[in-house]
Amino acid sequence: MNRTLYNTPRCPGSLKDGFNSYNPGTLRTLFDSRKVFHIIEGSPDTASWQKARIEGEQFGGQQWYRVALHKNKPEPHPAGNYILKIVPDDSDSVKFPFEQAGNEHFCLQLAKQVYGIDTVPNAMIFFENGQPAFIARYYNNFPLSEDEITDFSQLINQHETQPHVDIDKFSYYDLVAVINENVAASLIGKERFFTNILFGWLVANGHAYMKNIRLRKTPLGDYTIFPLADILCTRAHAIGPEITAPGGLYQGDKNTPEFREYGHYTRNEFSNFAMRLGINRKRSDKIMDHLVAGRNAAGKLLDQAFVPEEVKNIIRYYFNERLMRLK
Amino acid sequence: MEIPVQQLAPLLKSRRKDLKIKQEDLSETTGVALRTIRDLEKGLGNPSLHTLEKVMQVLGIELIFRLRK
Repeated sequence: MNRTLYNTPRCPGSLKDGFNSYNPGTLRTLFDSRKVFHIIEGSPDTASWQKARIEGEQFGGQQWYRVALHKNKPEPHPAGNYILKIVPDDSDSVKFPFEQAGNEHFCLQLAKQVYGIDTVPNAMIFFENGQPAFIARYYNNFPLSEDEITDFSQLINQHETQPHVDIDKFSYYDLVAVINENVAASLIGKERFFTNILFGWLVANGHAYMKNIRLRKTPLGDYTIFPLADILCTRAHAIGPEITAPGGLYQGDKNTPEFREYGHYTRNEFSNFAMRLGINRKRSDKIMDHLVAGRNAAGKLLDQAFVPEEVKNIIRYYFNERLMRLK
Repeated sequence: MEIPVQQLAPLLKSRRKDLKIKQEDLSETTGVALRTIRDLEKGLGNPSLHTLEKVMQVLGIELIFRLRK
């Protein structure tokens, strides 16, 4: 474990140089301008931490905890509005287990800073022993209100009027019924859904399960697509599927001439997916062209990321290779 | 029929911001000119019902007309 990472003179949120802790922008968006330091005292092995742990199988041995600010310090709290993710010391379930925090942080900063994608406010944070963690604000309110967010696994197959979806075989297109039923501004929701799926694929995220696709209530009481979250280049840690949904993007997506020729997804399948979602060609082309155009800026941001060179190289490889396919 | 654009303007703007969509993107998605979107949010202009409906629909808002009681 690299215990010197937290001494890097770089903001552990924005990745901008020249800061010994969070810069004002990160403090504002993540902590409402409260003076939070990027090092947490103590260790996550204590009983109070275990009470705040979220049960459930997470990628790569990650453990998720609910955290709240107490006197400007992140502390475990069962109703905390932040999610903190760490990998325990004894984890050996994947390659580079401790680098998952830096990987996820980079991917979300890439989405936000280079591509302007709505993401959960997030940053790196460290325990005193150097253990890196990832912190993000999922809930706006503290104590959290559970009905603020709901995930697709809870919403699928809720309405008899919609075709039943087999959750073991679903494609991303099958989830459109959830958006149509629950999101009043459904076209905006579908564009965001498309962008998030596409971005996840671009950074080789193979862990976008249905429970990680969420909706959030708007001030008017309807739902909108939850900001991008839970995205990292999982290929840096384990081999996984190119598209997480077992049914792919849509039924028949592997029957295109391009997929048959290359054996993997290309721009063509994503264009078809967008068209099925009802997104016009001009918009889907713009979204994909925008991703392609960010290549250099993405490379510069990756240089700043809190991950070692060997992990950066893996992320860079997949990212550039998939960008080529989007051209 | 005159549409009360001034009264609708704050709703349109706040709804767009709640949904975190830029004016440019709303324009492309609705097919309504950017200038018209900007005018609508300022309560200016005299948009057709069809134009207003296109914007409202994308923002997830229904226009309902009822007989006055």
